[in-house]
Amino acid sequence: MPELSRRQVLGGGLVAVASAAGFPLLQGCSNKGRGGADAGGADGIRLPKYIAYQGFTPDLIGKDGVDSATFKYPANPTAATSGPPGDGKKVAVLTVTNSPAPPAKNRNAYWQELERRLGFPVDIEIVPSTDYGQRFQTAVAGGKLPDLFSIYPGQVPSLPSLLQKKAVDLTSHLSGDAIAKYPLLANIPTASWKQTVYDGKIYGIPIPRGAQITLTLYARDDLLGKLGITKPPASLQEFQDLCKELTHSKTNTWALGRLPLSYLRQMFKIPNGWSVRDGRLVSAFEAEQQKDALEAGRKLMAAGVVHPDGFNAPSSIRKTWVANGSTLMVDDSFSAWHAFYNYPHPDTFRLAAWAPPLADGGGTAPVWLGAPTINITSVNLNAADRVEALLSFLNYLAAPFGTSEYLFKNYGVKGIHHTLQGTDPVLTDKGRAEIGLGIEYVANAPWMTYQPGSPDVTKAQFDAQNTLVPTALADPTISRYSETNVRKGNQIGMGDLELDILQGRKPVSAWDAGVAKWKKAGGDSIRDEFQKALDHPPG
Amino acid sequence: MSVAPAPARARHQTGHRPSSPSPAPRRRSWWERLKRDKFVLLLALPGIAVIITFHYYPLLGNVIAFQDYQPYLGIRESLWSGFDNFKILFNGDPDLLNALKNTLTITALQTVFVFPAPIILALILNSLASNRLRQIVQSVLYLPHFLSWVILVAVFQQVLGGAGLLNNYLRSSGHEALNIIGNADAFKALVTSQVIWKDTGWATILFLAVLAQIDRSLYEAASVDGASKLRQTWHITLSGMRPIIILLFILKLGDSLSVGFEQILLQQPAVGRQASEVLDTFVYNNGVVGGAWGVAAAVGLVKGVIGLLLVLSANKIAHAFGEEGVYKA
Repeated sequence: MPELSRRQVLGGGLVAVASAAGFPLLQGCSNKGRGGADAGGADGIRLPKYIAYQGFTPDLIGKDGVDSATFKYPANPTAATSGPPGDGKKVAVLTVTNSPAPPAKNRNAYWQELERRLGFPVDIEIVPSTDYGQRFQTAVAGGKLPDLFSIYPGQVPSLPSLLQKKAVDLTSHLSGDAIAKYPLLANIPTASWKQTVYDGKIYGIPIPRGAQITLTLYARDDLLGKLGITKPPASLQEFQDLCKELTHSKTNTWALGRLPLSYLRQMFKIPNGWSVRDGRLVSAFEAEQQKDALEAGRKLMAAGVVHPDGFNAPSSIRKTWVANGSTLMVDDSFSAWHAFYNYPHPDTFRLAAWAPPLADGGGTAPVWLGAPTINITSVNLNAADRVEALLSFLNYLAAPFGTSEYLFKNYGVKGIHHTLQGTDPVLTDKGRAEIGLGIEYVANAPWMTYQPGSPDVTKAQFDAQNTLVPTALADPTISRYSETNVRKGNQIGMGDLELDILQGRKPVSAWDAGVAKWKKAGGDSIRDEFQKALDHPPG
Repeated sequence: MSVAPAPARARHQTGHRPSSPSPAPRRRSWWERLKRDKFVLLLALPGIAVIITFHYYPLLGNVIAFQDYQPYLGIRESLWSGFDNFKILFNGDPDLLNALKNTLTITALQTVFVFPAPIILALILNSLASNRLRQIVQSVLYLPHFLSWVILVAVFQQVLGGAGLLNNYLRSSGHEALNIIGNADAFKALVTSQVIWKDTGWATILFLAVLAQIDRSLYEAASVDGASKLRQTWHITLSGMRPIIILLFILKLGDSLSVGFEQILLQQPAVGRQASEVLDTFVYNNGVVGGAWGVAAAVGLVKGVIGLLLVLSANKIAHAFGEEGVYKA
């Protein structure tokens, strides 16, 4: 996608950007990094055993990668931990946020209560997700990494060597059955743990996201229903016609919030980032259908059905367009579904997630499955003597849906940060202001689809996932590490060329030369590194 | 900067000694001068400390240009790589060349359009008769300088963007919308006009101060001699401003290769790197983002050295033309 840039400085969804770009957000790892110790270590690692939390049963249980869903929060949530895990000593954390900055600790009742319940004084430095990469790098360079730090593996050059120098090897604490000591971390699915392994050692805990990073095309179901449109388009032609029908630029209404290039590529059955042909890894950039997808995108742009600021606006702004009806469709991640409801919207506001039709009609195409982990959290080597206390801290923050800990960490204290509507917590203004400490990126439970007070929305989300996720196409390089990809992937990426083609500055035929240039500038090295990693999978 | 010996030399050149040897200004010893100026020096101390701490000390970090620097190893443990990082400057790296091309284009645009703008504006302001009106206009013109680039870029998007004020109006009145913000061809003109809008008002301060110092009686004398307003501007106003114009121009040369980092970085996603990458964003994208710290530092170092050479040589040239320049050796 055009927004290949990692910066998105004006704000915006990192996740949507990364997955829109057709690049996995995470390249977890099993191969050797620059200057890493032992390449052989990639094999034979025992990932932490998955021990599902039994204290709560969701209303709808997801299978085949679908996230489970629950309609109501339980009336009497039980505690999953026994007492504060803390050793009373300070824990310093560097992590990410996507919310406005919360009040400082001395003016933040939620923060103070969190410390009380944890039994740790907690110092959290929260950095907007768009700036996190550079903040992390400067913290490393300045020797200022705190006890616990979040890492976006796809953003950190030389990650395996860095982890070896700066992070605690957690293998002996978490591998295999050892994880049973931290039962809430054991509740994290195995697929997510793969992204914490570097040079054959577990260097962190994953923040699992299930299928949530998967990109889908949202449509305003309520408004389209009024126009008699209840089904997704059945072919590219129908999609183009629909877009034209929905665009009324004179009244500032457009069909699309931005050009959904991934959606078009899916229509043409282009692989998710990479594909394996006869055991050989091939980049999706090389797919023959790329030019068809770009041509389709160029036509949509030329038809003027995309919001004119679609290329510049961050995902938060694009969400407001959908919420206020100035665009009727936009592509975004599954996790965005509930986020749309945070923007001013009419009561009738309903979304549908549309499967991409095959370009020529005759069925639907699979969507691209997102990475199962959004980021990882590592323990500073300087804090190695406290590793068990810190893992207990993370264990507490990984408390799953349905527990009293989950209720507290997401909704604060009843009467102060939330009120109950039935048994569903609804955040107060104070709650909304104080809770955004970023702890959901330090450790978290598996995703639960849940829309407080709107069981029909919860059901719609679950159904959409059930339609799209089981057949979704995974990126074979996910949880694999390529040094060249981290260092150069974005810079040599095809984003600029896509932008030029879509906006008509270069012809579609320029794509082939662009791919050749990409291969030479590092694409071939990325391929070789991923191939090597695939040929030596973790045990 | 002492000019004390000059008269002595002048006398010497005339060839004959004065009959009554007046005590020639004796060159004071270093210690004496220190004692004489101790209060002034004491006052300067905090400033000097700030400059050393935040400007000179960080310069030492440039050693990473000669290292295969890894942040997790630090400067002490990273391996030395000699001049390897500087190879990028000579091996025709297409990205660096593109960044250099964009930088020079923007520099040229800024020199032609941005630099003279405050001079012209100062002249206009100076010709305003009403003092009160002038103060109001000045305050309004200063304001944009205090907006951060994030805000300013957002304002430009709101006004000139595809769904902004201008295009809303155009579309609702049946015209074609104009693609200004996302248009790679218009990018350099856009960033140049943003700089003009933001900083021209602020930059007039110095020029207005100089204008206030020009002796009024010169104008009276000129008008008595029958000089028109235009001739007065040329011969009195502009020549009075000449030293400060030249000084600022020399200083500007020093950072002529820095054409705005944040401003460009913010707007890069809309137009792509081909059109918008400049040396500063190249350093950022390769170093902080891409992890090639050593190469990025090498490029930044060379950029700084070129800026220094430009200042020094421009200063020399200014002296050759009999101007004060930035300083005198």
